[in-house]
Amino acid sequence: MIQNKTISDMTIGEMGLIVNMDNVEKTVRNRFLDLGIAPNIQVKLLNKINFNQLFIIEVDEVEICIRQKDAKMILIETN
Amino acid sequence: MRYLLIGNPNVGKSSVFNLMSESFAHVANYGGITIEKKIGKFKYGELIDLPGTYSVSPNSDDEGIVTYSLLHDEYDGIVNIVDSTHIKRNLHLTIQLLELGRPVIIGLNMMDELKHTGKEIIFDKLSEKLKSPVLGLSARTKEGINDLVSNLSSVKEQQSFQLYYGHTIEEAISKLIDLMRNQDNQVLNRFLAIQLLEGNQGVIESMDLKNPLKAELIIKNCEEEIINKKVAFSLKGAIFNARRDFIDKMLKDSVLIKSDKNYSKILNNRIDKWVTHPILGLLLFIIVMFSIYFLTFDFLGNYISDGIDYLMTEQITPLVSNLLNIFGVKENGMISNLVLEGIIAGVGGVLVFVPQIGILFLLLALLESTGYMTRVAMMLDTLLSKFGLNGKSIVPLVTGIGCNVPAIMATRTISDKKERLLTILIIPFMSCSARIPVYGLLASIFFEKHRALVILSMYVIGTLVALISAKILSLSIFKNTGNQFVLEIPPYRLPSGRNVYRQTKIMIMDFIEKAGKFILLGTIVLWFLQYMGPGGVALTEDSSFLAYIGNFFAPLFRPIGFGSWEATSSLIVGFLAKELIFTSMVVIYGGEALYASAISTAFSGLSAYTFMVFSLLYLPCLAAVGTIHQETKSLRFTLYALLFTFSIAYIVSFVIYQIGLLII
Repeated sequence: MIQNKTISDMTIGEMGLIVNMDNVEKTVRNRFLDLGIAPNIQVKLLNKINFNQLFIIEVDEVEICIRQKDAKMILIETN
Repeated sequence: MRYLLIGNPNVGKSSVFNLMSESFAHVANYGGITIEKKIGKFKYGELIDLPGTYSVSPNSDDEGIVTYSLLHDEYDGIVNIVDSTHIKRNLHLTIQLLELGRPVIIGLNMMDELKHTGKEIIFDKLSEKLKSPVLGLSARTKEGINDLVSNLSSVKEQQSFQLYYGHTIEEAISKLIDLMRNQDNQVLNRFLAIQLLEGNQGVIESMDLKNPLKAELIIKNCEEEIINKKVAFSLKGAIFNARRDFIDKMLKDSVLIKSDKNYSKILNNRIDKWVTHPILGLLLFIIVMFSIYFLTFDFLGNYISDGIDYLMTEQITPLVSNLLNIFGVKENGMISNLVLEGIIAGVGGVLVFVPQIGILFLLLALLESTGYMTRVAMMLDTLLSKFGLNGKSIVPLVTGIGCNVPAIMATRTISDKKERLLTILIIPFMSCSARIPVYGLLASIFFEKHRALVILSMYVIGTLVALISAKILSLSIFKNTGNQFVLEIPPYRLPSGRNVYRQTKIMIMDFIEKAGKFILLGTIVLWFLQYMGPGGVALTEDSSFLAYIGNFFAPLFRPIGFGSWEATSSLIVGFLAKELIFTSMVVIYGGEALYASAISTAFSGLSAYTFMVFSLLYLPCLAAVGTIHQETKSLRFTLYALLFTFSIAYIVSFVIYQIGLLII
């Protein structure tokens, strides 16, 4: 089932597949690629901190912290 | 033999470096050459430890050093340290290094942790696909280190490694190679072309292009084609995908998954839920900071300092005095004065603080090696963003409490230029260890009962001024900072005694070396300016050179409570190194025996406090100024930093003094 969902819509513990990162700002997007965050990769939401300002996600066993405004731009697909 | 040590951040590269090097030199050039290198001597030659990086394409100034070293340094091979528990991501860098064509040896670190994740690696398969020797290591158990060292005894030629990036990109690569003037090294040319397509501007110089504009066009067209043909969403994405596909295929054959549980990860997540809790987490951080403060200044530090002080005054000074007598040096004459009142009082006075500074450095190093500071950076990111800073700024700012110089260098990890400059500008407000002697001096004379509290207030004022000026600057000159915050969270690690010991030792040695250079020299200069005057030997205090210079600037400081030449001169000399403020005060106010009573009459409690605040804020020391210039390469910015800190110091001191006068 394809939904128009972003990482910021995920619930803690949920897993999804990244489909699109076009709207992420270019320098941040490059940084994501360096860290292994890319389309067609599974992502899991581990935690939300600072009152939903920061999202802690897990990609390929690596834990990464991103800001809400970037999380809002990463489109995912869940089943 | 010389090898570059390269790997992702948090892979234990420093641990491996420390284990392999029998001795090491910390080459931190405060002025002149831009690259700070850690060079270790090992059995077969030299190891150069470079900053951790995710990709050869730099994302921050730190990572730019790696590109530079790879292309311009002289070396025989590369040792690539990979975290075996995060192998997928690490291998992206490995591929880039292999494409360079220089000999690469891959060390899979953290093999001991890998066992807990239920995975097993088949080294032969990896080695076959990567065309390079692959060794397993564990820095923690020292496993595999000797094998790694023996593998470095001779350099094996690198087998050719080439990845196919798809038709569109391969075409662009050929076109770019055609534009390069130097066609001697095709492997290097291919590497440079791929890097440029990835967005690494740092390679353009090395490419020596016949037509740079045409190159830009090739890249632009390539990206457009990639997007139009739906190969990927961006050029960099396409390159990433090609590498990822290769890695996935390779790992399928070379990594066996024996069980699915990852116990350490579950534990980590549980701890983090509490550590990053909005209330508990912040509380924990405050407790940690306070503990560091009290351990340094009250419980441990004090006792040791008092001990050294006793040694200096009761044992060493009389000893030297006797020695001088034996050598026939006139008592109270010029040389006697220089040695006892100048050098010993001055340098000795600073060495008394080495234990406290050592404890501070040790605690900060311990803290950082556990991985806790990353959690702190996350917790504080939201708050610091409101001041125009980045969560990552917390590490340089906290480092600044030890010494501003490494703190300024630590800002290299902040990728956004504006945020980086802003952080550099406010670091001098963080109270460094060099200011401790002055606080100690004045606090013990004027505020003995509330000593710890008064000194604490310096740290609080420093931090507040730093944050508030950051806010003001971010609203005016540093508007619209990039705001990039993407942080990898390493698992908690028990600090490695060896690493922490070495790191602390480096910092203490640097500090003592600085004491040797700046402070010894400054002490002698100070002694000279104070002993001599325009009319020969200064018979009275106020006929010395120092008095003349001080008197000239003194009126400037009257509105903030200390318009005397003695105080002013101390501040001027203190620019060389902030410890010298303390030294000057002791020397100018009459030396070991007399300074305490002289100072207690020369200052009021309020003016003494204001003087402390001004010393805290006024200018970065000479070493820090040199570092700012080295890091920003802008004379203009450095001068701006001087002007900025001085103005803020004056304004804050003025406010404190004037309000104080009204209240008291």
